[in-house]
Amino acid sequence: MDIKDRYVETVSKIEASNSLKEKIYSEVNEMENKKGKRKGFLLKPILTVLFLAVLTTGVYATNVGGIRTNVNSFLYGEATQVTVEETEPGNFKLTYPDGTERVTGGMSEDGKGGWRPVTMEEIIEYINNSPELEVKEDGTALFFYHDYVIDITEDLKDDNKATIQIKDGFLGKNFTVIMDENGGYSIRG
Amino acid sequence: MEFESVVNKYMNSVYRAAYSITGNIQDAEDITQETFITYLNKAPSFESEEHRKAWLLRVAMNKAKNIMFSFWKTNRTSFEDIGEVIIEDKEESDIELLEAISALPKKCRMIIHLHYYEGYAVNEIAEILNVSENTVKTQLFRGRKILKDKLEQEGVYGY
Repeated sequence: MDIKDRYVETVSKIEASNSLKEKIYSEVNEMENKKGKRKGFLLKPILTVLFLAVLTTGVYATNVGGIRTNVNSFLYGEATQVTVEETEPGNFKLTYPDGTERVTGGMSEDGKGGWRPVTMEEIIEYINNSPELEVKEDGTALFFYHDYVIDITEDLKDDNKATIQIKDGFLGKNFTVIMDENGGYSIRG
Repeated sequence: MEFESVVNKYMNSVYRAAYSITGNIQDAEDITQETFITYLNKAPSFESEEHRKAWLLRVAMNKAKNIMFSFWKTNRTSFEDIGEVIIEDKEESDIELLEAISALPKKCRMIIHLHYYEGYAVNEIAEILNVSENTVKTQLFRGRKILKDKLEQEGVYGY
């Protein structure tokens, strides 16, 4: 038996403890509980294909350090500032004036068939152009995009789906929100 | 794929990678847990299951690197917990193999694991670990020699 076979044979027999899976789910539940009232609060992971790393006009950024930047942004329909900090390549922490913190990040195609960490510019573009959904404890569903705040509770009642048209720019924007039975959601647009 | 399915499918792969590199059960569990939490929060869309797995292993490797290259771990190279790690039908030869792995430099362990256990090619390992292909080849050559010498010292024959 050669070294490779020995290695595979031994390592294949290593098993994680039964409690490890429980620890993972326990942490996930704790995270979900902390989100609590703001279901769907966490920014969705970036889905990027041929992502253009362009800082949009109208977003004013000041550098407060080598890896942190303050930018104008929106939080639940209100103009605000956010500090974007790159904690490691492709991973970012967002801190808002009220103390709200979020983490986001991801990978982008590198144009050579591989992947690379997203850049700060790409993250800023993403957070300033991504819609959000907040579902309150009483079932009210609010859709946010820039400074637009739209109550889509009634629209979702029939088929868990809402179509939103926003006049933002000369083309306008269309979004579709789809909720599943577990309270998860997706936003397309 | 649902999060639970991802955990069920890849938890042992991630754990085995983490343990093979750190040689410490608690570190391996922490790395595995953090890897799946990172997956939940930050995973991109994947073109295939191979892509998903490679992403998970890359995250795990980065977390293992952070632990292994931290100041207080620098001088600890041998595997702790060899006697405690859960190995189905553990044999003496398994202990010998783990002891031989512990003789590998840290960077070697990652590359050896990705090549021997996960079956990745040199260029794929270079991409996962974000190093040059030359580095992978050098470390692979070095790792093979160390393992061979160590296992021969232990009196294990057969290759």
